[in-house]
Parts: sequence; structure tokens; C-alpha cells
Amino acid sequence: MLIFHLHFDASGSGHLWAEDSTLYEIDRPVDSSSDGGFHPFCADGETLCGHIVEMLPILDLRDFRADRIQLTLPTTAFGPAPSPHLVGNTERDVGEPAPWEVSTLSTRGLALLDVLDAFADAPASISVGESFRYWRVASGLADEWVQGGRVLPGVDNDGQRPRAVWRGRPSTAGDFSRLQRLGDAMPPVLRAITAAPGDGDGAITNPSSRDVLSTALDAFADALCRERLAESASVSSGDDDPARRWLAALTTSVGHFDAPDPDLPELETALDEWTGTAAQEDSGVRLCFRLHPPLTDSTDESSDDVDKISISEGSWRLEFLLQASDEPTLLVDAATVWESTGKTRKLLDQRLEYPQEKLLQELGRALQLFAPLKRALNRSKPDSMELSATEAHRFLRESSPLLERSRFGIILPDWWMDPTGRLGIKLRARSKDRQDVDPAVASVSIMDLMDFQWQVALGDETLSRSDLEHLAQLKMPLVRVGGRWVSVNSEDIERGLALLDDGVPSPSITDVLRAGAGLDDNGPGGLPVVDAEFDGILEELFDSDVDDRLDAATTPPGFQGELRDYQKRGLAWLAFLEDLGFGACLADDMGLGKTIQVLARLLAERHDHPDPGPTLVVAPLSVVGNWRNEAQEFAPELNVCVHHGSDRVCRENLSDLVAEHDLVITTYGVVRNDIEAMGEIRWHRVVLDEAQKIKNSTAQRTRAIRRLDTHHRLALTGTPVENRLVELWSIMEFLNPGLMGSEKSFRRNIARPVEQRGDERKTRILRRLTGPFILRRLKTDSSIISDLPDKIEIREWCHLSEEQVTLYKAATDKLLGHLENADGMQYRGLVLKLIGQLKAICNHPRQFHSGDGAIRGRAGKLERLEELAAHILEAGDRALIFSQYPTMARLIGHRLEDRFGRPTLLLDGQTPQKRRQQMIDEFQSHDGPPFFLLSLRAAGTGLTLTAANHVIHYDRWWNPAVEDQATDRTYRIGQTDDVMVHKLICKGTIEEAIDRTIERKRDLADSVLSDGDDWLTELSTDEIRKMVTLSDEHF
Amino acid sequence: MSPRYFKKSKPIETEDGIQARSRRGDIGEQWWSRRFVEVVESYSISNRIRRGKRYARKGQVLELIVDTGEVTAAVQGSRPTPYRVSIGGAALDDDQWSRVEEALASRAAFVAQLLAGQMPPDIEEAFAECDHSLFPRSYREMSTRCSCPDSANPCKHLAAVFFLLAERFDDNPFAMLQWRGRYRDQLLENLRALRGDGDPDSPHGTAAPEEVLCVDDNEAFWRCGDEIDEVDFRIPNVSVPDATLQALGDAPSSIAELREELSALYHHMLTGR
Repeated sequence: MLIFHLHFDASGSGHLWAEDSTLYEIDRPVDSSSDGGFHPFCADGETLCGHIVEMLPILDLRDFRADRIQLTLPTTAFGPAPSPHLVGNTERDVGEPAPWEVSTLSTRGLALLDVLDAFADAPASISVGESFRYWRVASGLADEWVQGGRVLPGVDNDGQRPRAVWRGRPSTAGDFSRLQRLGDAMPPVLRAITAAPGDGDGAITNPSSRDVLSTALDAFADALCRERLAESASVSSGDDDPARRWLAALTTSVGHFDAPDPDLPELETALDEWTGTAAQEDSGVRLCFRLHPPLTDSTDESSDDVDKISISEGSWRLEFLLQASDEPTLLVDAATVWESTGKTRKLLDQRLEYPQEKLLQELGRALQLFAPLKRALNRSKPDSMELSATEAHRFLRESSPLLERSRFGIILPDWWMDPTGRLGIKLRARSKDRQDVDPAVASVSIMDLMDFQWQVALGDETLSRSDLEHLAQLKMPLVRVGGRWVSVNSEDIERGLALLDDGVPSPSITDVLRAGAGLDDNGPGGLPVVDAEFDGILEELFDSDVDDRLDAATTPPGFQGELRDYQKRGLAWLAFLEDLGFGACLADDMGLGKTIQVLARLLAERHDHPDPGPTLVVAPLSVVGNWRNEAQEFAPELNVCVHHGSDRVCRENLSDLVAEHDLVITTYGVVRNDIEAMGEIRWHRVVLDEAQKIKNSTAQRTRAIRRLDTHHRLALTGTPVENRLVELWSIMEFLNPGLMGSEKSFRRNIARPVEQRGDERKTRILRRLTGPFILRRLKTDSSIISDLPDKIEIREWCHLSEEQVTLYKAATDKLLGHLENADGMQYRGLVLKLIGQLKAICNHPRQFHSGDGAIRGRAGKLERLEELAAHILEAGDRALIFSQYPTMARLIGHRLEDRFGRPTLLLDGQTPQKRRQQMIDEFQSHDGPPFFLLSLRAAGTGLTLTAANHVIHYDRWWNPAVEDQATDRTYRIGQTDDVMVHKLICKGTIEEAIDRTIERKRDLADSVLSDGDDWLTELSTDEIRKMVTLSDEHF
Repeated sequence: MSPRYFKKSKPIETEDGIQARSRRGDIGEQWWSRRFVEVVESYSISNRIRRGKRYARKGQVLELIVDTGEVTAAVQGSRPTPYRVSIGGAALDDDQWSRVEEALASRAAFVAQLLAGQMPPDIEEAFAECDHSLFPRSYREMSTRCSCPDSANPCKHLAAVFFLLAERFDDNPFAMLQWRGRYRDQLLENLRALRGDGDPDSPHGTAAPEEVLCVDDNEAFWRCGDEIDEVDFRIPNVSVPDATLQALGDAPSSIAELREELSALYHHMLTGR
């Protein structure tokens, strides 16, 4: 397992490095011969790159370079102390700090944002230190600066190639208090970075938290500016003038530019001179302005409905105060300052020399930025001044930002910052009367069922045309509307009038949904959408419990079995969304039967329309067999085919194949390779199973999927997509293209605000926007629990790899041949040998012929197991994995540790009793390893392992009682969760025969047949042949 | 008039003379120092003013002391001994100053702007109220002397001192008041008294403690402080996208022509247009 950390060096480069748990050994003394100060368990550059390529597809390795930094780390006799993320609680004695060199991948510019985005969205198997949490919050502040224009351009000249850069310009009271807090909150490890390794042997110095923070904030601000400029701005480059080249470089991805020697210092001096002017020495206190609206009669408040729009007769008051720069809540009003006399006074928790003169000096400074102040200064001891409505508005809009940027404190009325105080539009959508809907139109879109009305509103008040005209005539920027102060600019009034005159010409469903979610800051007509009121279908759509409110569907005719209640609700929900023309994402927990709900949907629609057209299921190869099996089992009426493998039908015959089938099952790989052919088919529905496979929106696979021509779209996933925002975008873009906007704008406007600063409004918007299209039920939901057995058994149908098929066929051919001529003891031996070999081949080629070869990618069953394991990790669950074969258990353990970097436990017949108990305690502990591998024989009885809520039987045993006993290691008293039992079976092989036998035995509830393989030896050669021959369904 | 012949002389170069900041054009950036320089420039249009300007830029003035009522200076000419220059006759007496101070105390704007490094534009009104003027009404009102042989007044040495004095006034408007007879501290103290601001206490000050990298606690070493939860955000409601630039004032000439395009970048960033 790697624990990633992110550091910034003095030049503003970000350095990614990682502790590697596989290199970490407790209490291993540092090898004195290798004592070059190199960190003994940091991941090397190659490992870092490998992880990035595999786990973080957003990142582009070309943006990074292999680098090294030196960190001052707590150190013990055994070397650098590991982070608590690596080893859990650390209570180790740490001695003197010492410098350790670590390998890093470094980057700067735009890619820094990708790093934060990628890790925010990383799979559960990627672990990060708290540095990421810290930088995410810090980058939120940089983001706010950029959004507020609180940045300045400059030159970064480190002696190599100069860069044009943007730097943050903290200027508001809030900026300074947050910088203070961020400085205090910085994990000391982020200050541990020292100068580049090899820089002399002098005393180690570490940067202050303030320096590290400001360097990093500048780097983030720089990247955020570039991101915004990359989209919209274009500055002509290729100019000879170095200043113009600098300007152009401000908009490029990194910002390098060339300037010959005499020009560069000149440019730097000019910029310093210009931008340095605003940098004032901060003396601890500053002037602060507080704006008060005119006092209104209390009777006014209640008579709003009489006079919706009013301007106040009274004047505004601008109060002067002194404020502590680093603690903006400490304020003293000017009147008090005038009363307090003497050279030094204790004010604002500090001693001030001549506070009156400080106040005067600050007023003099402010006068240069806010001319009306002169009126107040004509008095001898001014403590406030009156402003007209127009002046107050100008103060709010123009002067206060300028004053704030020159480090004056500003306290504005709360409503000024509230975006709903702007003129906005409201959407009202009403269902049409039934008779208004033309029954002749066959497919009715949701847009035909609704009447849309756009209204202009201020806060909660809807404004009529005459209200707007009234506002326009007032020419008063600050008015009271419905009891609150708002500012209205004349452009907005014009836009509002235009909207009322012309309406919104044919809004698209995307417009409507985005309005409904509150997403559009720049909606129709250039005004923000501030409110949406829906009734009828649209109201239902945004109802979070829509699946409960819909009439549950019935189990469709032809469905073999009975749908559970929640599955019937799911079915109704699918139908509801598809009827409205939307794509849906069914994200039920693993084991709740997503496949079954899709199959039921196919049957139900065939009940309504005889031939709706073909449905394409795109799934990972490892679950293709599962699909076919479940279709055969639950919906045998459906004509199903698997389109996969080198012998799949060619392009010319594809449409014939599709025409003959209701359900075509294929893999992501086939869609990617055959997109030309697949794209020619007009599908009725495309279903993506494990839809998180398309999370990388630029991958070929994803692009191919988007090209499929289909009427309905359905995505299935068992992972909590709502927390993986980039993944979520990609799935939603497939389901309902355009709804979420471009990926870039989504990342910037939604994902990052939500992830960086927990922006509540954006979180709400995101939920509103995606909620209608995602149905996720958890096994733990109260409504589901009552509906579920507390032990769920699932057969996981697996495929054989080509290597396995070859081995399997060869083994059966060879041994069946020998069987023909064998007798007695020889026959018995051969049968047992054959069964043993085939079971080994199904498990893994390496179990069949031991050897070194690779583990991964050679067995379909292991692939399926890895997928299950990923889901289990994702959900924070734990699993027992049983195999009859200790060899296989070990292979599985290696593979899981390798892939997920998490430790596993392995218990087999050779485990000493004492060690057994240690393992059990370890697994049962709060932070125990997620996977416990057990040999069926050694661990089938007697152990209590209730920390697991998944049991995986990697291979099958003839006697169900043995399996059940094993399952009961966790499904027993003390188990608080439901238990999921996964039984892995290779389709079309001996394992399927075993499964049938077990089920038959279970049905008969007999144990006529003895435990073990012995009874097989009683079977005839033909019976054996039937049992072991690979059926066509193995594909 | 018979032509008089002077041997064309070159001034001796100086090493650490006071050089005017202004490299070309006018000297004296602020309105009050301009007003001061204009008194000199309008009196004489001779070459000596131009040469004086050159002297000021070359650093021929070795010393410049502003005192109450008099400015004294040493200017390096072509002779080895620098010339002594003085500009006097500018001081108001205590009575006059008391009246001016009363006028100044009546409006906070005066002290506010002086403390902010600006000469209040209407300060002349305060002087006028007591029949005085901040600026010399004419060149002749000042008593100007130079030890050089040139009989003309102003000579180039006097002119050089006037120019440097203007820059001194640019930096510190109190310097002009000092020349007119009041030290900054005295003036502020008198104004304090007029405001009723009381007696001094003793000053205090504390320095921030140096930050030490603390590695004693390995757990805390890797963790964020609790303050991280107190960092909140508010989305700015920006109406002037390039306000940060505007607050900087005019750009230096070498990059002034980029000013508009920079503004456009702020608009792109904040509005996406």
C-alpha cells in the first residue's frame, strides 16, 4: 500500500511522494552502509508512476518529472518514523529529527489542480496523508481569490527560465483571518521540506508555515487563473516585445517565456514598482468601514404588500472603526477612539501609540480611494458619515472592493453577499390538462406535457412588468423589495423586461432541469435562475423518494420467480424515467439484484409492446457469464446472445444477429474495438454494467460507448458514485448528455467547490441535479432490510481465460481417453485425478502446473474475485475467502495484497494454534485487514470471525453442509450485519456440475452421497464425460 | 552691452551626491512640490534653471538640510570647495503658527492627509485664514544665497537645491511645513492638545516568537490542526473584475500599454467572456 503525501518547495513546485508499506519493516535497524540519508521506505519513481497510471487516469505523466526532496522527519533508531496513516497509532519514541531524502514526482502550473482533483476522486485503494486534506482546503482559499479577482500578475525568475505568474493578493479581513487559521492548522510535516539535497552540511532550516502556505497558495492561484484563461482568453504571442511575451505567457499552461537579459530585469522592476505600491506595511490595526442601511419604521416591515418596491427616504450611515488586522472581530468605533486620549492606549487587545493619529492617518489614506469621505473629514473628530442611496450603492459596488484591496476592513450588510439579492428568474412548470395533450402523438416528451412560465423575481418576490418599469424609472440602485434591501442594476432590469416580453424561446429539457436544480448562475436571458416551482411529473422527478411514491410495478409475466418489493419499486422507477426519456443509473448495493431488475424491465416492456428492439448490455468480461445465466434462469423467454470472443460475428452479420435477439451481451473491449460496427446499430437500450468503467472521459472505451446509438440508456454500478464526482460526471454524461455541462465546467463549478470547501449550495445543486437519475438502495436501509434475508447467497458466474480453456480441453481429452480402457482401482484413480485437475484449472493455471508465471490476468475467476474485493474495500467491508487448496489461497493472498496494497491473513492446516488465535484477534480488531484467506478444511469449523460480512467460496465442495459451516464462521451470533455469500463458479465447467449436485442435495435434504469426491468413482464413463466436458457456454 | 567671457568650466564629479529621482522632464511629482518649483521657474527662464536641473540629476548637491525657516545645502561646482547655499525667510512665527494650527485642527482632513503622506489640497485655506500662505508668494519673498561667483540669482546651484527640495517635499509634506517653521512632532503635539488628546504613557512592543518545527509528537506531526475546520469560504460577488488592478493606479510607462489587455484578462477570468 502506498500512502501519498504532497509537499510544496520554495519555488512553488508540488512534490508527490509516498510511503510504501511493502518496504516498511517494523524495527528493522537502518543499514549503516546505506546510510546516505535516503528514506528507507519511500516509493521509488517507477512505483509512483505505476500507481498513477493505474489508479489516477486524470493525471498525465508528461506533466511530472522525477525529482527528490529532503524532509526533516521524526526519527527513531530504526530510521524515519512512519506516518500514522501507514501504521495506525504510533506511540513510538521519536528522537532527534533527521533529514531524509525521498523520491518525488514534481509538477507545477495547471497540473497541480489535476493532482488535487485526482486524489479527491481516487479509489479507496489509494491512501493519502492529511496533507491532501490540508491542501484541498487551502486551494479553496486560492480559488476564492481568483473568483474575486484578488490576484496580481508578476514574474517568477529563479535564475533559469522565467515564468509569467499569477499570485494571490490577500486583501480582505476574511483573507487574513483565514491565512492565520491555515497557518496554525498546517501539519508540521509540510514544513519539513529543506533546501535541495546536497546543499552543504550546514544546520537544517525549515521554512515557516507562513512561507510554505503563501508559496502554495500562489501556486494554486496561478493554476486556477490559467485554467480560467485557457478557456476564454487569447493573447497574441510571438511578439518581439518581451513585455508582450510575458503577457501572453500569463495565459499558457505553465507560463514560461523568453526575455533577453537587459529586458527581463527592466520588466521585473516595472512590475514590482507597480504592483508593490499596494503592499503596505501592516501595523496591526487598520480602519474599517461599516455600512448601515437607513433605519426604517417597524410599521414599514408589515406593510410590504402595500408597497412592494420602495426606496427609503432616510440616508445610509457609514461608520468608522479601528480593527485589529489579524483578528477582524476585534473592533473599536471611532467615537471611542476620539474619547480615549494619551500616547499609548490599550485598544483591540494591543497597545497602540497615538490611536487617534492612527485613525487619522488611515482616514487620510482612505480619502484617496473614496472621495466622499472628504465631507466627514471637514469635521474635527469624525466618527461616521451619511451617504445617499446612490453613494451607498457606489460604495458597495465600487469603493468597498477597492478599499478592501488596499487593506481596509469592510463590514457590509449581510444581504449584499447573498446572490438571491440579485434580480433573477423563476421557472414555473405546470402540467397541462389531459385534454390539451394531443393523444395522436405517439411518443410524448416531457416538454409536451408541461406549460412553462418564466418569471422575473427578486428574492421571494415575483415582479410584474410594471414593477420592473417602476424600478427602471426609479433609477435607484438600492431599493427595498418585500422588506429587504437589494441592489438592482439597470442591465438586469433590461434583461428582465426583455424576458417578460419575449419569454424563453422553447427551453430544452436541460434548461428546465438545470433551472430546477438551481444550477444556472447564467440562465436564459443572462439572469441567474433563482427559483423553480414544478408540479406533476417534474415535481415527482425531483422528489427524493420518487421510487417510494410511484406505484410499485408487478412482477412481469414470464419472470421466473418473484421480485422483492424494493425490486418492484426499482422496476417502476426505471419505467418512469425511461418513459420521460431520461437515462437512469441504478446504483443499488451489491447483492440487491440489479441484473434481475433490468431483466424484469425487458420482460415488462415486451408485455406492453411486442417488439421494442434489442437491448445491449456492456459488461466486464468477468460478469458476462453471470448475465447470460441470470437471463436464462429468470427470463428464459428472452433471446439472449453473447457477442464476444475472436469468433464473434463480423460486421456484416451483426445486424442479423441483433435482429434475432432481445438481449445482446458484450464487453467494453468489444465495443471499443468494434465501435464502427456497433455504432451502426440502432439499439433500443444500452445498459452499462459496472458503469464506473467509463470514468475516464477521454479514454477510447468511453468515447466509443458515447457513440452508441440508443433510445434508452441505463447505467448499473454498485459503487457509491455520488462521492466520486468525476466518475459521476462521466456516467451522467452518458445517461443524459449535456445536463451537467462540460467536464471542465463541472470540475470547476461543482466538483471542486464541493470537495475543497464543502460548499453547501453546490452540494445541494449537485444532489438536485443528479438525484432524480440515481437510485441507490443500501442493504442497510430499513425499508430494504425488512425485505431481505439476513444471509444472501449469490452465485458469481465466471468465465475461463483462453489459457484455461486450452488446458481444460487438453486435460479432459487426455484423461477421458485413458478412462475408456481403465478398470477397477485404475479407473478410480483416473477419475479423481481428472476432477482434481479440472478444479485446479478452473481456479488458476498456476494451481494446475505450479511454476512462477504471472498471477494476474490468467484466470477469469480470480478477475471476478478482484472485482468483488474492490467493491468490498470500497464499502469498507471485510471478507472471508475460502478455498479447499492452500496453494490457491496463497496465490489469492498475493494477488490481493499486490493489487490493493492491503495486508491479508492466511490460515491453513500448517498454521500453529497460537498464531491462529493472533490472526483471529487481528482480524476481529477494529482496524483489522480486510481479507482473511482460509483453507476450507483447516478453518471450516470452530472459528468466530464476525468482523466479516462477506464470505467468498472460491471453489466448491460437494457437500453443502461443509460450505454452510464455513459460512457460519461469520454468519453467527455476534454478527450485526447482513452476510453476503458469494459462490464463484466457472460457467460450463465441472464447477457448474458440482453446483447442480449441491443444489439437488440441498433440495433433497439428504446426505446419501458421502462427503468428498469418492462417489464420482461410481459413475460411468459417459456420466463422467457429461459432467466434465466443457460446454459451449464457457465462451 | 559687451559680451562677457567665462571660461567654460566643468563641475567636479561627485561620488555620493544626492541625485534627483526624476531622470527627464519635470522634477517634483506632487502638486505641492510643483507649486513650489513653479515659484522658481516662473521667476527666471535663464539657462541656469536648466543647468540646475542637470546638477540635481547628476548628484552635485552633496548635502541638503531642511530646518525651521531655512534650508542649507552644499553644492559641488567646478571649484574644489563646494558652494554653500541657503534658502531662508520662510518661517512663520509662533503666533502665526498657533492660528494656523487652530485652523488645521478644525478639520480632521488636514492631519489625516498629512499623516497619509499627502499635502491637503485645501491647506492653503487654513493658511489664508490667518493671512498667510503656505507657498512663497514670489521668489523674492525668500532670502536666497549662494557662495559661488555667479551674480545671477537663482544661480545653477540654487536652482539645483530647489529641485531637490521639491523631491524632498514630494516624499514628506511635513518637510515643507518644517521649512515654514514647524517640526512635525511639534505640530502634531500642538494639534493633539487642540484635540484634547492627553499625555504620553510609555510604549510597549512585543515580537512574534520564532516558529520551531516540532517533531516530538509523531502523530501530531502528520495531522492538520483543528483550526482547519474553522476555515470557511464565501463566494465573492464581484462587480469590478479588475478592481485589484485599478487599486494599483497608473502603470509605469514601460508596461502601461499592456494595462488594458491585463484588464481584459481579469474580465475573462471572472466572467468567462
